[in-house]
Amino acid sequence: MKRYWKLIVLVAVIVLTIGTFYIRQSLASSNYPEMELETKSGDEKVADNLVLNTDIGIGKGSNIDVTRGGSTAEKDSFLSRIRGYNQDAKILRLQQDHRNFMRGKSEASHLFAQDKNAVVYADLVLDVYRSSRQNYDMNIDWLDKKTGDRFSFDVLLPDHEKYSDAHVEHVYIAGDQVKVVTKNRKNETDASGAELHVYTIDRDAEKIVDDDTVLTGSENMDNDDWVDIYTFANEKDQKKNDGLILTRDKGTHSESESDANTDPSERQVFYYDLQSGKRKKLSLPNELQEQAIEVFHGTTLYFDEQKDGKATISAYDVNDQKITANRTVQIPDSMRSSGTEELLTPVNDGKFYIVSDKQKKKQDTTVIVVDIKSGETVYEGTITMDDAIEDYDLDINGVTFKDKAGDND
Amino acid sequence: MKRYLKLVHFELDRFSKIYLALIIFTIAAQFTGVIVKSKTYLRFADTQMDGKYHSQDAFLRDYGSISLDDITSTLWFAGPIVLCIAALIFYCFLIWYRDWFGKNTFVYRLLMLPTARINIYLAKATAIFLMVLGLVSFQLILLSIEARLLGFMVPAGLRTDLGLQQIIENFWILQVFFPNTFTEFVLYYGIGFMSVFVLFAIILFERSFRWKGIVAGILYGLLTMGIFFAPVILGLSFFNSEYLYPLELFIMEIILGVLVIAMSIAISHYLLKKRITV
Repeated sequence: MKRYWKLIVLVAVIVLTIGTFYIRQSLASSNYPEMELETKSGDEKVADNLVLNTDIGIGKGSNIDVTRGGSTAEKDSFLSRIRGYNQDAKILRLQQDHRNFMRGKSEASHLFAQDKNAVVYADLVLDVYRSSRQNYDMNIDWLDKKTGDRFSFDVLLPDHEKYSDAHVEHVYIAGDQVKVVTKNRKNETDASGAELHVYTIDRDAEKIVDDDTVLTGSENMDNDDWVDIYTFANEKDQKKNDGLILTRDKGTHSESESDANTDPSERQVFYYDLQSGKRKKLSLPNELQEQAIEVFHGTTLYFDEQKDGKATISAYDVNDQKITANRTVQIPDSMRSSGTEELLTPVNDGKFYIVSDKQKKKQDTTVIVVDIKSGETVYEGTITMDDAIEDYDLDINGVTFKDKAGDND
Repeated sequence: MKRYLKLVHFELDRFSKIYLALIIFTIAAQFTGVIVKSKTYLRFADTQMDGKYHSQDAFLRDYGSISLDDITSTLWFAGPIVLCIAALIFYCFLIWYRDWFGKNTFVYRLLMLPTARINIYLAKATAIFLMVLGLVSFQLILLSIEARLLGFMVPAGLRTDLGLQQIIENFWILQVFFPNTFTEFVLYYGIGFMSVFVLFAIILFERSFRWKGIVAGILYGLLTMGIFFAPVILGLSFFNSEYLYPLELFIMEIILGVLVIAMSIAISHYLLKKRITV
């Protein structure tokens, strides 16, 4: 045994050194302060599903989710890294329910549509092997949930040589057909060549049966002019997901090629009914013209604006074309004192959430929630942590809501 | 088992002189690096502060303090690491060929030992693994010592003490040898050791069939790479993106890795038993 001392010493050194190193590693990673969202006033249940994604400049404190129940950091283990940090609940659920169908597919949730009979995927892929310029194929994969049958085919985009760029904005199932909304660009640098198309594809015939150009950039444009089209899908009530909001924004090119100076007074907003294929221009009251679209829920389009220390939310009904509710909230000084540049203002469940994007110690309000219909402030809260921590730089990157599962089918 | 351990110990012993030399060289070069860099920095700081800058704070604002990663980025530090890597790779070949081409054709006696010949193969592989891990552990210890050394050389105001983790993150070679998690450590080194097993099998092909053996060996090497990378290659050629979910790919690769190692051991066993020529 004594003769083997070299071997024993070597193994011992290896095990001790590397062991200590990695044990210290795993202890060190929980090196951020525990945080919690504390209710300052109002109904604490309002914040039950609220998740604030934060970065705090202490220890390994980045990407920490703070909720009423406490804080959790993104796990740094190898396995969670290879799984990826994709938080999209819709994609995760699809991957769980239809593992084979989702194989090898992009994880962008807007490429998937689901109703009680089927899950349909549509994406535009560039076929680089064909000789003519910029060829886009549309790749359709249709899964019949009841029979398990799969229909997988490609269709060539009509007039595909015209387009230098095209991507899918939205996918909608209509019986045995799928309607794919795409934004196509006619030439690379000028956004005025944008066109919004809705292609209707028949699953059994495996071809495009209709090509509707719903919206185009304007004709009669100068070189300086800029136009772009944006879509807003219905983010709630997936069962009645028949409508799309489209905006046509105009402006002028700025010095940098990728930016533009938008002129809010030139924006036009449309409602497109996916079921009927009809497009309707919405007439907006003056005060909404310059406000930004926050989100589209059901038949209500929410606009908001931050100006002069106040945040305003307006609920606009697309059928009646009228404002149904309008609330203005005065932002308290303490919220603005943290150097907050822009507030995060999501809308969820008929409530308007105002969240500052920074928090400093001594700031006593970080979240304000207002019920849009009643106008009442139903909740105010702030993030708290161990008092011993001196000064910190907390950045709030995003706000998400823990949804109840089963919003689809 | 006892024979196997004896062989491992024997292989370690044979290399111990060179191993020690590598270690001493590493210590010498890296310590010199710390000392030289510290002195240069201090001299620079002194002349600057006598000249344009009259206060330490002003100097620090423009030039910054010294920290260990200023040394890790130099040849003083990286040089010995590269040398050790090269030496060990070279020894992967030499560990076999010295038995044939050394002073006595030692391989006669080796092959005549009353033991399963595969123990020779396993012992040589184990020796290489232990030597690699030994150097790696040693470098880790050395880093802590070098941090202290820097502390002695430069006063606290002019230096920044970095944690071990930060030093590693600042230099990509260290990142490879000391990955963030233990799982990755096992994976990276596992792949390295799998390669050693495959390399040894190739060497045995050559020792069994000479020129034809080299061809056979290279083909074997390509085969193992093909097997190991199969999921990725197949996934990319038939589908546009990855066909397997990340977790599935991970498990598949571990299985394939173990398969390659088992294949290499089996082939080497066969070659050693039936085909080896002296």
